[in-house]
Amino acid sequence: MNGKPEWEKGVTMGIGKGTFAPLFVRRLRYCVVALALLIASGILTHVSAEPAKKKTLGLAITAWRTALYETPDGKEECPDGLTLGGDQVWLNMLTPEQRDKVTRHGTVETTQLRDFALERGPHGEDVCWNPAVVNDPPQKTVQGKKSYGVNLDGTDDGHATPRTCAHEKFVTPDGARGIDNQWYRVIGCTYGWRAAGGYTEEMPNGELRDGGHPILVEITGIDDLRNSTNVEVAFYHSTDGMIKDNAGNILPNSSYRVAKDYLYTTHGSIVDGVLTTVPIDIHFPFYAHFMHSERFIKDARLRLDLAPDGKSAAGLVAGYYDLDSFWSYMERIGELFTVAHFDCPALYEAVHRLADGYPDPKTGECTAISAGFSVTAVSGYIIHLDAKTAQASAPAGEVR
Amino acid sequence: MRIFLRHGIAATLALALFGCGPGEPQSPGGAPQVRRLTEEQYRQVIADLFGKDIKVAGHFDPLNRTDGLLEIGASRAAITSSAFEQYDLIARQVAAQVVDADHREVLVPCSPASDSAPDAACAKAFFARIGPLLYRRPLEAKTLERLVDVSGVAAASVHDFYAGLAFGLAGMLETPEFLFVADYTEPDPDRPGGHRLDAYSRASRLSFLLWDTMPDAALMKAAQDGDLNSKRGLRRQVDRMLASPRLDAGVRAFFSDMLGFDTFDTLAKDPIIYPAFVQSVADDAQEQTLRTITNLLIANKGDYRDLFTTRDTVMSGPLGLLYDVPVTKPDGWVPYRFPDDDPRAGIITQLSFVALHSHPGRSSATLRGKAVREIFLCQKVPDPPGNVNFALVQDTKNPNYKTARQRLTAHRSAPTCAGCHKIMDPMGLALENFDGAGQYRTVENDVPIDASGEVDGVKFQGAAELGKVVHDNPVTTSCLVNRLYGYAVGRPPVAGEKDWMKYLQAGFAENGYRVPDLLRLIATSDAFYAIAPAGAQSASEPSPTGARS
Amino acid sequence: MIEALSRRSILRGILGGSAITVGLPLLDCFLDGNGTALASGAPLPIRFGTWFWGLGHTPGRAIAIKDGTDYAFLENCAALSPFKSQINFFTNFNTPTDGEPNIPHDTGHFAGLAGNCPSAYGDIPSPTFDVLISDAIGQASRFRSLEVTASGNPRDSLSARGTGNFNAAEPSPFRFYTRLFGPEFADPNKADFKPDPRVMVRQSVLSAVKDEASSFAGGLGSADKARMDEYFTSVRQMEQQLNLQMQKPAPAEACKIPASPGENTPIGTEIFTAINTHKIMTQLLVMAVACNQTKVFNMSFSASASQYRKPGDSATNHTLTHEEPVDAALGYQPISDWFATRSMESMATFVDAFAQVREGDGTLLDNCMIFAHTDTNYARLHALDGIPMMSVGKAGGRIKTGMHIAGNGDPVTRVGLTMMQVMGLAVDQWGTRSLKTSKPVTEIVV
Repeated sequence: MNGKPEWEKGVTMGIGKGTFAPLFVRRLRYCVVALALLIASGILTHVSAEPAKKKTLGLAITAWRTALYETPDGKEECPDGLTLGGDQVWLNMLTPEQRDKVTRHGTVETTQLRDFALERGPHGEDVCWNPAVVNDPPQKTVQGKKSYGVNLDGTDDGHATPRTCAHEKFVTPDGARGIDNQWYRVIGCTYGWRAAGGYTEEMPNGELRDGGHPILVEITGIDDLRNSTNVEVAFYHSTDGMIKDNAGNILPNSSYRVAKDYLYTTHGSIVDGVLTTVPIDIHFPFYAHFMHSERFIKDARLRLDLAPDGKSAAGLVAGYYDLDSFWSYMERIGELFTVAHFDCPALYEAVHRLADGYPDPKTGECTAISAGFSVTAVSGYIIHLDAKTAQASAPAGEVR
Repeated sequence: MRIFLRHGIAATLALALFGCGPGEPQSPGGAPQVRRLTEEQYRQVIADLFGKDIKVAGHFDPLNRTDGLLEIGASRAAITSSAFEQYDLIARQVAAQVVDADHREVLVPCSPASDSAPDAACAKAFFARIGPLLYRRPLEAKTLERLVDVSGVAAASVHDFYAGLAFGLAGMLETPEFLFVADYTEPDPDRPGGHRLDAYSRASRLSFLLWDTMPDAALMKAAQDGDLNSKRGLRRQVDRMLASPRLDAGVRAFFSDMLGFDTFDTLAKDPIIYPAFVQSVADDAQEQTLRTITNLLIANKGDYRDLFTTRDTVMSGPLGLLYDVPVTKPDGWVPYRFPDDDPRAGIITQLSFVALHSHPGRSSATLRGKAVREIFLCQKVPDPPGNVNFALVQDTKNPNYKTARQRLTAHRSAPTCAGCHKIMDPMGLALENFDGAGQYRTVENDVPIDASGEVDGVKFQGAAELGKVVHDNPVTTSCLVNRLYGYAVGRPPVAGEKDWMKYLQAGFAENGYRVPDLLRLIATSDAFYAIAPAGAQSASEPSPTGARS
Repeated sequence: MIEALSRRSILRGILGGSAITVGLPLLDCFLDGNGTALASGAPLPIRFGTWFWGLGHTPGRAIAIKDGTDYAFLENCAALSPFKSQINFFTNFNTPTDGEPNIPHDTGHFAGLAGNCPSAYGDIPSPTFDVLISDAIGQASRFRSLEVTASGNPRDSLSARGTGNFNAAEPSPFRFYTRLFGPEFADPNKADFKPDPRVMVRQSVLSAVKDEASSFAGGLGSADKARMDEYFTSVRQMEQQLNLQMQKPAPAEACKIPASPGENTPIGTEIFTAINTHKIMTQLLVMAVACNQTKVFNMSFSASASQYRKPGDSATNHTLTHEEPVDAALGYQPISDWFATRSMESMATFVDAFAQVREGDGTLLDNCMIFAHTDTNYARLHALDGIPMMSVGKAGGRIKTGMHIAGNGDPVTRVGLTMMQVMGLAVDQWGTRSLKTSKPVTEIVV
């Protein structure tokens, strides 16, 4: 309309939109706009516009599993079948007469033959502590094209870069391309990591559920649980266990005190309920097989779906899994090869061959391997104990 | 100086009115009681006698709640065959532990001449020491003889001195003298022809009231020396016991009884509807309320009425789950204070009340309202009529009432229902923000909860205000006095005690509604030890020493 | 030790002709050639039990009454059909209250059990008739009676002596097993038997306990004296247990010690848990009877205002009976009806367990009389009149079975009186005020 006052342009009131509004409505409009201007100018100072209070979400990670794509019969991803356990590999090396003798005509359980299968280095070395001293048939690796995970190196085709080694990429089951998950390639056809075997990762998850100490993720500076542009994300380790209901599910709303000397911080953003974080190097502790271990993940980043009610979350931790960290766990659980069906020398060889991150400056060989781990979490109160005053505070404005 | 004098005069007056006896109305007393030990008392007595590491593994028959208290039910409780079987089993197990190699050095005061034969002298020393403690009074000579005989025969039969002791001890643990706390009377020197509680029964009454256990050595000695028959001697013991940390146990036992915590044993919550209500939550809920009570009433010498408004409590890890609050020490107990505007205020809003008085899968305004009335206001709600027609509730036009308030509308409008439900539902409806497991909620089936109510003409909004209403209601404190006195004497007050009860209520008010002071008032009174005259209760002649009339 | 027990030595009592009566254990050598009676001509011992469920049936869905004494089971009671020939079904017996309140889920069953209407919850005005029966026939067994519940709550017992105390029910299968078949159990089929000298010592200790207690009881008032009487009864039962431990028990053909239920067997008010608990408890109870541990038993399938619920449902059975709308098409409350059917299925489990035990020429059920009863005719209205009752088992041939008996409005106590007479009690009148009766249900008495 011509002659519209300047201050009426650009103010969408919604009253009589698109029609010629009656005079009293127009007058009303003018009043409302005038009022708005007065408020904005601070003349009516008792009407203040306070910034929305920032909120915090505390999460405890309840389970950690390799994000492993598998089909029920395994044929798509493992056309050559699953890997053989070290005991089977060893037995295959024997002549039929030797095999018959050592198994006492097949009556002895292979778990009992475990020590023979382990200590078969040329000088009797344990081949999980010294995997390079023997040459075993190679690891059966994933041949399929699909995997969960994230594009870690930023390339489309996995070509070598100053920080990565050349490797093949995957496509997610939903069709997202450029996925780096060499770790899956290495162990995706090993029984112990797959759902049916579930051994190597279900043991630590079981320990966690039975009162173990979880890793905590504290997200602060949240404007809105669905969308927040800049949040702080801290990783802690707790000294308190999780509480289960009678069906074995972890309950939300527990309180967790943070352990001293374990802290990693980064930034992130929440878009449509999904939190993504800026990569940093993180050591993730866990307890399994009667010992403390850790997964050292370089360039670790989260991609977490936050439930709208703020009670749970699920998603991925992706990054480059440091091979030394991996092997220091494997060499101590070597004896599980009979039930998890892995062969240490073959596994060691494959994971080094297929590693694609952080090349050694001297040798050029990659020392970390791209990986994706699926995690689940429930919400809880993260308790910070101030050593000086022994006061405890829980972050204000908990999200619910 | 004048101020001091004024206070001093006021104090003296108060003392004169409420502490000195002459101002105290007479009580005719009730019949002598014979009260079965509660499970808690049994366990505590064994621990006091033989040490905390003696295991008591067995189960105890439940007591019937009578006139609001299990302790009054204890005065009527019998011992059934199956209960006796259990007492026998427990007795043998306890006795076996007492004499075993780990314990006999400490618990048997002498060594026998031979381990595999009777030794009358050592057996006598053992039973002479343990007998009076077990029976809570001196052992009669013939009883001691009998015990030495029985254990001697046993020892000879199984060629084991200690086993012989254990047989005798086990027998003692299943006699009525042990299992029941009985009122023994003796002739009253101040009232010829009348009877009074004897000193040892006084000691037992006092000890079970204040500490929920048998009299300790000092109290037994006071009984023996006749101190408990004098006001001064009695007050000295009462003050000693009130100052002891063992008072906590007595106060906890009373409130545990009054609040009906025995029903926690069979409390079940549907694990699908309330997955978070696990066993550790149920256990901690009771503990939370009992600690709230002892913190306020004993440690802080607070006003009883503040139990219904206080926001100060304690939290444990499992409770933090249900209350949805941070707990700074999840593996223990921490003080916790709810914010000033929080609906959680007072013990009625704690889990031990709202979760206990609910159904397994939903809340219940009626159960909660009834519980407030019966527990805290001592008002008996009549039983529901037998022939009630529920067709009114089952309105076929609205088969799914969205909120409890809507569902209970018929309760309050139908004439046959309204009379009773009017006095229950409005209180309970104020607590509807707490679901069947005690968790806070603002909506039920997507409809916002309206937590307004009215009690005896007083309107209020929400749980915290309900607490204030109970705080301010004069019946609340007289109910507590009534209950505590009934707990103390094992019977409801009798008709002739009207003035005495009024006196107690006035004293409670004078002392700022402090429970330890009320306990002192009761424990040092004549009324607490008064026994109805012989002939009123039974026709049997009193025995010369230590028999009940 | 006596190798072959002669009838005479047992009759005289192994304790050398003492005054203690020893119940006759059932030996095959005592049976007549037909296995239907003792060689002396006396009938086989009859066992008595009660089985209680809360909240009745859905009216019109329990039985169809036919001509004469014929009847058929309907939907609620379908599971009982295989046992119809053992069951008498009583309808139209009423509960006059003489002005006492109809205390919901209380008056209904106590009137017929105690012969008296209670005046308040927790008031048990006189002994329930199972106690009168067990006092008469149960003294010589290891247990005078056994009370069990499937609900997990020891207060769910309807057996009481009338002093205001009830006989607590056993809620835990593991504890029940330990009590029955644990260290104190004497296996009747074990070849060797050595009386434990320690038992004799315990007997002398109990004797001293009784002496002690007698002087204690001497000075009590009358109300407390009644409680002491119960104490002495309990001590006597313990003495009886010890007596039995001093003799080799007679072999019991059907006695097979069952496996122990796990210590962590779930107990609770979720309906399927309760059904399972009931099944386990039934097995233990039946074996206890088959092993001659008791002659009287009481099973509470549920509390009277049954708190059972389907998992995930927020309403209990009791709440549903009041709040569930009557389905317009079906004409009844569907979920409440579902619970009634589940109750009867469990009753069938109970009855079947007795029917599976062979005894003489027939089964243990043939030598039992079980009183199956409930607290209301129509739970929705707490209706007191026409509360359904059943007798199950042939009582050793002393009663006729398979009949429907119409009460014509007579008091429920007629059934209790009949049962006491069948069990051999010398009682010709029972109950107070309008519940007083001297008319047994002669139609079922042989």
